[in-house]
Amino acid sequence: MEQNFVLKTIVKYVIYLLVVVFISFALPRLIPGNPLFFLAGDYATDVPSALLKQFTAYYAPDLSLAEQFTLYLKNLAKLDLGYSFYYKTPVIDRIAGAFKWTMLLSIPSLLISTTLAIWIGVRMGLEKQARGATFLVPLLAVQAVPTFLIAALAQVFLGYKLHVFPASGAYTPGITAQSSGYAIDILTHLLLPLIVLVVSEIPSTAIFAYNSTLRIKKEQYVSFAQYLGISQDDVKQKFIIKNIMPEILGKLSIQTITCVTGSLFVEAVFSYPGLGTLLKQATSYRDYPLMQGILLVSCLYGICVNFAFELMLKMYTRTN
Amino acid sequence: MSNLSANIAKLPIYKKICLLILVIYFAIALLAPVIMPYSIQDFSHPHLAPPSGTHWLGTDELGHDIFSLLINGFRLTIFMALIAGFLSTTLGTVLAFISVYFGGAIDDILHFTANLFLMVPELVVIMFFAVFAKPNLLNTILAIVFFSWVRVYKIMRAKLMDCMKKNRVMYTLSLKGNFLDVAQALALDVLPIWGSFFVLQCNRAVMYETTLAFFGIGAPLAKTWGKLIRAAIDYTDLYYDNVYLWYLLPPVLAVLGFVISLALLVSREV
Repeated sequence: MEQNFVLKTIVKYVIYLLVVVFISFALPRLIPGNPLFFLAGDYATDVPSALLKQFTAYYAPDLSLAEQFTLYLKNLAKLDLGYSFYYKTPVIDRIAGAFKWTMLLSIPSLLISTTLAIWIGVRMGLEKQARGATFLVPLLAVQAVPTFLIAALAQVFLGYKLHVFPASGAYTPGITAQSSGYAIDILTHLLLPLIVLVVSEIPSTAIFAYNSTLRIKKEQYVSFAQYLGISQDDVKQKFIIKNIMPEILGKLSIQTITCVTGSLFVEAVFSYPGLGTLLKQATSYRDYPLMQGILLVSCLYGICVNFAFELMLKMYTRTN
Repeated sequence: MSNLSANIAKLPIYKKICLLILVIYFAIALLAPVIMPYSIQDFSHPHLAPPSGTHWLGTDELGHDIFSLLINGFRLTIFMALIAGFLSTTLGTVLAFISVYFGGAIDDILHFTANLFLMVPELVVIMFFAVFAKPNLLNTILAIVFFSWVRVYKIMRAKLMDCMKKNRVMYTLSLKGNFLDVAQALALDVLPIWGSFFVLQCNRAVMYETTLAFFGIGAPLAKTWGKLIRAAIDYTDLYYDNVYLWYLLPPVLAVLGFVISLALLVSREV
């Protein structure tokens, strides 16, 4: 039974993976006005011949589609995602270099925002109806605002106007890991993007925790515990938080994906050297192989995260 | 009509404010040609003039009147949001209905696709699509519609599954009612959710378009609020002499007012 479930989940996610790889292969070849048409037409004369060679070697527009697909899979197996037009280096190197900065930003933001959001949501839920609902309005308002706009406003006011934080980059130019104060420099540059990201992530989880708390609060065992005079703190810890955890875990899998997406936009605003800035450069220079690489990596990330959480959720509900 | 005004009177105060703001936004969008003091093509004005009686929000580095651009942005952005919102909500609802009505393999495939869409970062996919396509407003709208029906689909599917069990629908089915008959029987049940989703999807469309514009994707000539924000951020001396006050902030505030009003208007009171 247990093994059956694990096996089923694995099969399902393998299919997801295959579909995503196929879409990543097909999209640039299907969309009208795609780079393959560009390079086959007059545009080709403007491109340096060495680059064109790299490009045709990777996309091989002369082969049949089936052959193109096998070539794509072979390249993928070698972790070859093509050659960046703009940087003139392999795409995978660029992505690997940027990935660590994105993780440095998104993982702490996820931990901080989830903790704060659960705390806020549960507190709001335990308040009297009307008072709890008042706090909902600012949360909904923040949730409606595009993340990059929060970032841009924070950059204008806290970075450029008040000079509270460095307004862009991940470190002062010229500083190296050997210089003194390297860690502090990294940290001060991290702070503003991190705060923006946390602020933008809090509302959805907090609203979720609030709704879950409201529902659990109405359950008889909670009313009964309160009737028995069990302390408010114990009720909160042992009854409410423990019971909303499976739902929160389910929500967290989406949050783990959105924290990276959010991070992309925050990075792009602050020129933080992660995947977001890379994506911004890729789009503004129309660097198709790089874009395709970022798309594939972020989709694979999403699938892996979901897979991990689906198994984790199963374990949690089984042990409790 | 009296029913509608009674319903509006029952709304909490912050929703009334949102509704008022939205009415003003729509009025500005409709009356844009009358309000705009100059044509947006007109760049004969002095460059980078600060706000004055003739140019309320000054001019940009090419000599466009910023106030006129902003008002024109109301028209473009709201128009774009309504179309994208309507299409994505309808697409999600229709697919949900197809899923529920036919069931079986069709339902499995649609549900599988929806789950896959939920796992991949939506905005990155939209961006990818919009970059590859020809840069015009229609393609931006299509990219947004094609990748944002999933939330509507998931919730509509659950709702429709419940509704299918109702007597009215069972009756239609037992009379061998076809696809359209059943759709008609269900329409009344899903209309309220459809309305809320429509508003939310409009909100989402503005979020997406603005973000795309910020990344420099989409029609270069369609001066939506997002494009104006991008133009302001690209201007290197934005922070000298408080230029940002009349260049950057007006479009930012226009976006904020719109998306927040939309979101709060349909938020559920718990």
